[in-house]
Amino acid sequence: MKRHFQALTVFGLAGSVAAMGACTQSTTPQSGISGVQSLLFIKRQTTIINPDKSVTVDVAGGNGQVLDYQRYEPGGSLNLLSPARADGTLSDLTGAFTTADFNGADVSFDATQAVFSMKTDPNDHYHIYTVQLAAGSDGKFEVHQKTAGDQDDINPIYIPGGLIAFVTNEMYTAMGTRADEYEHAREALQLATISVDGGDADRRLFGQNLSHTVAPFLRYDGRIGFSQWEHFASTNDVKIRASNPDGTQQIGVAGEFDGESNDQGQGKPGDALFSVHEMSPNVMVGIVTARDRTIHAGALVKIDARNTGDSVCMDDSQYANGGTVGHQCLNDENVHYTVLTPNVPTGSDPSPVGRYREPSVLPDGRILTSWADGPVNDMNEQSLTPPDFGIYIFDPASGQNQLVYNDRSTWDLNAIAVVSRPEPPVIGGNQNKQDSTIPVRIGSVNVGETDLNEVVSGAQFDNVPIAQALQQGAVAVRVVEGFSSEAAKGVSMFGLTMFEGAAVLGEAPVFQDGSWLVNAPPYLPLHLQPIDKYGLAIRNQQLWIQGVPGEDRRCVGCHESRTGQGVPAFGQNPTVAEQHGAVNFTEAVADRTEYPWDKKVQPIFDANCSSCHNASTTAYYYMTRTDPVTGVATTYKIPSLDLSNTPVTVYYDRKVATYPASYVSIFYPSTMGMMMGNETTGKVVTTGAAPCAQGGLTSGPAGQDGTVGGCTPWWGLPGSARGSALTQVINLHGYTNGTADGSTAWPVTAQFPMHPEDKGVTLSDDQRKTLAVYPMDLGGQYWARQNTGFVPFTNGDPVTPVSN
Amino acid sequence: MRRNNLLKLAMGCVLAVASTFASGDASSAQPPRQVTPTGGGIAGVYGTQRADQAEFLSTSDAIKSAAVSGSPTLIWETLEHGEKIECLDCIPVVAPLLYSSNAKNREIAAWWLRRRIFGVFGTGEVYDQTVQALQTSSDPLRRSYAAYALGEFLAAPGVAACASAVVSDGDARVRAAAASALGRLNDDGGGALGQALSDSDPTVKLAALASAGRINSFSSVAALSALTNDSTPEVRRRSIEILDALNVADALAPVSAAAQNDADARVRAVACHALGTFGNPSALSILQNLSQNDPDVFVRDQATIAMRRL
Repeated sequence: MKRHFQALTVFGLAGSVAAMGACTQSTTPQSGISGVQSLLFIKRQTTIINPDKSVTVDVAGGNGQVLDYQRYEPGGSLNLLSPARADGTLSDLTGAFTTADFNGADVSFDATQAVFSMKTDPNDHYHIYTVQLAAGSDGKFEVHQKTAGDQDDINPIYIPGGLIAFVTNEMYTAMGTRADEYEHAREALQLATISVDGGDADRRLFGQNLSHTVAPFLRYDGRIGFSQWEHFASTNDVKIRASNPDGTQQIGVAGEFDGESNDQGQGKPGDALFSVHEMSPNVMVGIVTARDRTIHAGALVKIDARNTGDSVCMDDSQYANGGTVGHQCLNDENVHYTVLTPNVPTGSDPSPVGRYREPSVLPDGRILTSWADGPVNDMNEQSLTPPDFGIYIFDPASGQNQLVYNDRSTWDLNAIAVVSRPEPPVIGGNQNKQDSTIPVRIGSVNVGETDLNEVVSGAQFDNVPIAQALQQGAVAVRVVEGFSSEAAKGVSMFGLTMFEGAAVLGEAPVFQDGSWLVNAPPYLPLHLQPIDKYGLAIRNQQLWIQGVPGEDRRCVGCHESRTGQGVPAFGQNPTVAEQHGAVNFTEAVADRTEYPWDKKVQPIFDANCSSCHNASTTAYYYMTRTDPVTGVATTYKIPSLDLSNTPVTVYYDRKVATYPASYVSIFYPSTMGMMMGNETTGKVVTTGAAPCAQGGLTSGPAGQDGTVGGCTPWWGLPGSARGSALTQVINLHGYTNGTADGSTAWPVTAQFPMHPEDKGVTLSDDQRKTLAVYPMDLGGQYWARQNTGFVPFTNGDPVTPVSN
Repeated sequence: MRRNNLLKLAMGCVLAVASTFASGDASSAQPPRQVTPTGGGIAGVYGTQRADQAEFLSTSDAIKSAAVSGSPTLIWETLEHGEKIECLDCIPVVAPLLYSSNAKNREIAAWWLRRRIFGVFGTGEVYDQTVQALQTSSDPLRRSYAAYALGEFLAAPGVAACASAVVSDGDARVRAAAASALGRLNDDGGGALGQALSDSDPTVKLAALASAGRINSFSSVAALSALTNDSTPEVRRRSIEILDALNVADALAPVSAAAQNDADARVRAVACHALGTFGNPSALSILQNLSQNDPDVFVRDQATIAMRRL
C-alpha cells in the first residue's frame, strides 16, 4: 500500500523574496487580497513511498498522459484558505476522503458552494461533487455526488442556469466509441454538462472532436470556452473554442489563426493554449506551452480576441449595458497575444524561471496563479524533486509573484477567489435529448461568402481567389465524417497519409443563391469540402466541426468575415436551400460511403487499368534509407505506375508496410515529396524514376511506364484531387443540373486526351471519381471502417452490434 | 510522439521559416495561401505547419545509456524522444525493460519497440520472444509482464496468446495481465474476457471488467450480471458500473437487489445510478425508498438522481 511521503513535508509559508529572473516573489500582506474573503484550491500529491520503501515521484502520470487527467495519487484535498493570505486558516473540505485525488474545482456564482472532481480511491473514477463552503452545525462540509459510472469526469465549472460543465472520457456514447489513439490509444476527453440539482439525470454530451477537449471556462456571455486539441492531417495544436451551454454553435475564439504580430514579434506564441479564464469580455489569461510533457504548465499569456475595429467592442462598459448587442465583438482571426512572463518558455524547454499553471482572475483584475520553480516537466521525476506549485498573485506590471500559500509537500493548484460574481445570461438550449437519430442541420446562406486570403489552382482554376472560385464554381458541398483508429481496429495509420479515417456522408447541392442545407448525424466530427461540377474539392476544410441533436448550425458562408454582417442577399430569405428542405445525410454507420482501397478502388483498376499498367510496364525508382547508427542500408523498389494488386513493401513514418502496387504507385510520390532530402534520421536516396519535384503533370503527359520527363508524377495528393496527377490524366466530365454539359476539368487536347478512352477502355463517370477524386480529396487513405472489420453500434448500445 | 512527427522533424528546417497558417488565414497584408498544394515537403503536400511542433530527439547512445540506467524518468523521456531514432543495437538493450519492475518502464519500452521497423516483429525477434515468454516462461511474473507487453504492442497476434493465458495460465497475475492486454488490444479474445469474469481471483475479474468497459464490443453480459453477487465489493461495484455503461437493462433484477441489499454503500450507489440508466419505472419505488432512508448520503444522492431519469 502506498502512502504519502510525509518526510518531505515542509509547511512552507515563508515569505522569502528571491530573485528569479523576471519573477520575484513576496508575501501577501496581513490585509490579504482586497475584496476576497477566502480562496478555494486543490492540493495534489506527487511523492509516494512504495511498499518496498522506495520513493516514487509522479509528475506526469506516466508517459502517455499528455493531458493531466488520469494522474492519480492518493492524499489530495480540496481546501479553503480564509482569510486569503499566507497566515490564513486552512479548512480541508474533503477530509473524509483520505485516499482521494482531485482534478478541477470552481466556486458558484453566489460563492456558497463549490464543484469539484474527485477520485476517491485507485479503483474509482473521477466524478463530479459539490460541497457547501460553510460548515454545517456538525462542523462538517456537506458533500454531494453528482455523477457516477465507468468514466472520468473532470474540470467542472459552474455555468448559468444551474448547470455544471466539465469534460469526460465517457465511452459507449450514442455515436460509438471514440478514442485518441495518438497517445497510446487512450480515450479522448469531450465536453458535457449536468445540472447542479439533477446531476447525471441531466447529463448531456457535446459533439465530439477526434482529440482531447479540456479546461472549460465561462465566458462573459454565458458560453463555455474550452481548449481543444485539433488534429487534422498536419494540423496539430491546441486552440480555444467556445460553445453554447447546450453544446450548440461551437465557434473559434483563439488559436485557429496565427494572430496579429504583437509587440513581442509574435502571433500565436506557442502550440497549446490551456487553462484559460476571462479577464474581461473577450480578453483572457491562460497558459501557453507545449501540448505534452509540461503538465499544462507554461508561460502566462494574455489573449485579446476583441474586434479592435469596433470601438464599442473595445469599451468594457458596453458589454454590461447591452451596448454591444448587434456588434461582432469576438474576432478570432486577429487575436493579439501578450506573453506576460517572457522568460518562461512557451514550449517544452526547461525553464530558468519556473512555470505557471491554472491562472484565475481576482476581482481587482490581478492574476491568481500557481507557480513552481525549476524545469517543471517529467524530468522532475528523475531527480525525485517534483515541481513545487504554490499559489501566487502575479502582477503583470512588475512581473512579480506574490506568495499567497505554499505547502511544499503538495501541488497547490486551481486557486479561485471565493467571491460572489454576476451570473451571465442564460442561453436558451435546444439540446434536450441525447438521441443520435435526431440530426444536426448544417449549411450556409451563401457558400461564396468568405474572407479567406487564398487562391485556388488546378483544373479550371489558375490562381483564382478563393471567393471567386467558390462563387463561380461551387455546385455542392461534400460532408465528410472523420474517425480515428477506434473505428478501424489494428490501424494506427490509415495508409500513406497523415489524414484520419473518412466517410462521405453526402454531397449537398449549392443552389443559385449559394445556399446549401443538410441533415447530418449529430455528435460526429465532420469537415466540409465545397466541390465544383467535376466533383473536385475547391477547398478542404482542415478543422473538425460537430453538432448536437436538433442543432441548427448554419453559417453565413465558407469562412465568412468574423467581423462583418452576415445577412442574406436581397430576396434570399428564406434561402433556396431552405425552400427545398435539407438533404438527409443520416445513413447508419454501416451504410455510409467509404472508399476502402481494396474493396472499391482496386477492382476498377483490375478491370480497366492493370492490363496496361503493371509490373512489366512500369518504371521503378529505388528508395534507400541508411540507418545512421548501424549503417545498414535498406532499399525499397517502388513502381512508378503499377495499377495491379501486386503487394509492394514500402517505408513510411517509421514503419514498413505492404500495400497493393496501385496504392503505392499513386500515393508514394507525395510521401517522398515530404521526406525527400529532409529526413534527419537517415538520408533518403532515390534512384531511377524518382518522384518529380512538383506534383502535377507540368512537363507533358506520362508514358505507359508512369513517368514524365524521367520522373514519377505525384499521382495522388492526399487531400487534393485538384493537385493530383492521376486526376488530371483521367480527367473528369462536368455536370450541370445533373446532366453532362460537355466540359472537362482539364482541357482535352492531343497531348492530354481523355484516358483510358484514348486506349479504347471506357470508364463511367462514377468510376472516374472513385479512382481519381474521392481517394485524393478524402486524404489518401487505404484503410476505412469497411475493410478493418469495424462493428458499429446501434443507438448507443454496444451489446447489440450490427454486423457490417 | 504524435504520428506525424517524422514529417514534422523532416521539415523542421523548412517550417522554421515558413509562415504558419493553421487552416487558412483571413484577409491580411500577407500574400494569399495557395489552396492547391504544389511543392515539396509537408508545406507542399499538406500546407504549412508550425515549427514549434517539432520536438527534440534522443540519440541512440542516449537510448542505450538510459535503458540501463534504472531511472524510470530518464528511460521514458529518452525513449519517448527516441521514437524516430533508428537503432538496431538499442533493441536488445531496451527489450529487457519489458520485464522491468517499474510499470512505466514496461509501458514505454513496449511503445518504443512497437515503433521499430526492424528487429522486433520478425521471426524470432522481440515480439516472438514475448509471446514465447508468455507461453513458456516458468516465472509467472515474467509471464505477466509479457502479457502486458503484448497488450502494449497493439498487434493482433497477441490476441490469441493473451486469450489463451486468460483462461489457462495457473497464476492469477498472468491471467489479470492478459485480461488487461485484451482491453488494450480492443478484443474480447474470442470470449476469453467473459470467461475471466468467472475467474476465482478478484484481480483477474477486475482486470477483465476494466477491459470489458473499453473494448469496442462486449457481449458476455450474463457473466457480468453474475458478478453483482461476487464476494468482493470492488468486483460487485465495477461489474455494476460496466452493466451501467453497457446499458444492460436485462440486469434490472440483480442490480435492484444490489441497490437494496448490498452491505457496501459504494455498491449501492452505483447500483442506483445503473437503475437510472436502465430507465425501468419498476425501480422507482426502490429508488424512492433509498433516496429517503439509505444511511449513506451518496446512495441517497444517486437514488435521487436516478429517480429523475425514470
